[in-house]
Amino acid sequence: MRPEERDTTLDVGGYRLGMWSFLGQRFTGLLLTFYLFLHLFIIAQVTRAGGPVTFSALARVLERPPYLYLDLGLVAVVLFHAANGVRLILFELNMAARSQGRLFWWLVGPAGLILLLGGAVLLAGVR
Amino acid sequence: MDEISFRIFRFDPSRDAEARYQLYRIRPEPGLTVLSALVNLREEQDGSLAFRASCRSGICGSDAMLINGRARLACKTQVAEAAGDGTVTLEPLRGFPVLKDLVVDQSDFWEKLVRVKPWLIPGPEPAPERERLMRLPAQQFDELSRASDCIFCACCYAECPMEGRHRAYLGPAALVKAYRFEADPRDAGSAERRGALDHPDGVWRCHHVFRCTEACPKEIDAAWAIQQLQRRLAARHLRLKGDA
Ligand code: FES
Repeated sequence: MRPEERDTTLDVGGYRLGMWSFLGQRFTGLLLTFYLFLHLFIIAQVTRAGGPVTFSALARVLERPPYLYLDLGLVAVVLFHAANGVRLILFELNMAARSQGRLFWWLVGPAGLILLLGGAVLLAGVR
Repeated sequence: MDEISFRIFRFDPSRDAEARYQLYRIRPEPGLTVLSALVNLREEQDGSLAFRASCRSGICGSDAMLINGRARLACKTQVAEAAGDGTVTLEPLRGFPVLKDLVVDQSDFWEKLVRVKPWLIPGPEPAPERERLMRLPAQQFDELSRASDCIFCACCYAECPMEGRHRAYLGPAALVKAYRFEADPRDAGSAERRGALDHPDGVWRCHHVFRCTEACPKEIDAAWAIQQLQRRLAARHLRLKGDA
């Protein structure tokens, strides 16, 4: 049960990889909870008097920058939370006992790549 | 090596209303450890400086302290390495009441350790008339001996952010010891330890931050050991295993 070789990439400001991923998971979790309420609030506009019209107008605004950038931020938050979540689940299932540090990059890395590609496609569509 | 500063946390409850930091200057010789520097300081500059130490070779676990904000053994830390920017900051371990300067009250830590019954609890078979041989296969022994390497320095305990938030949490050191015996095929004490382990302040308080593993001067993978305990208990709850 010697630990895996320590990954020093994220040794920033006194914290290390494990602490950053832990804080990241908490922070993104909070953001997603907050976003869920925002999401429900906006969707619920349809049910109000004259709602469909208001909602369509609102949706048109939200589909364009600067809100589009916020949307991309949301995708980033979801991707990080999901990728790091998979890492934690694998660790809990004893499938990453000696690789949780490396796994962080193997999962969060591709997630970042997806974000970049998806973002490029999305922004290209707006122009 | 050039002169460097030691910035040391000072607090004497019988005299000080508040803690303060005191600066000392020393000219370290090559190979000087933080502990030797402290001993020199106490002998040559300030006899009132309080710290704990005994073996000076990473065996007794008494001289854990915050060195530049991180829990480490003073005797296993080189001054040259710690004094990157010319200053070494020494503070008492986080999460413990300070008794004086770098000396903390570890009562809670020891009390939690006892709560997991860190000793071999034999099965119900009657004690033999002559001595009992309890052998372990070599490979299994290697595994357990890692957990046995713990010197109770409390570095992991001081680094754990869960411990920082929930003072009742047993903490990584006690759980590593619990794992040491839970994983021992000769031990039959699971039922007796379950109350302490299978509890919100037992194994379930761990959120895999891995700071214990990163801090351990004996390179014990404490986070992994805790996760093994979690798995055993989860399997029990899901009835995947018998009375494990
Ligand atoms: S003095 Fe014994 S471990 Fe450092």
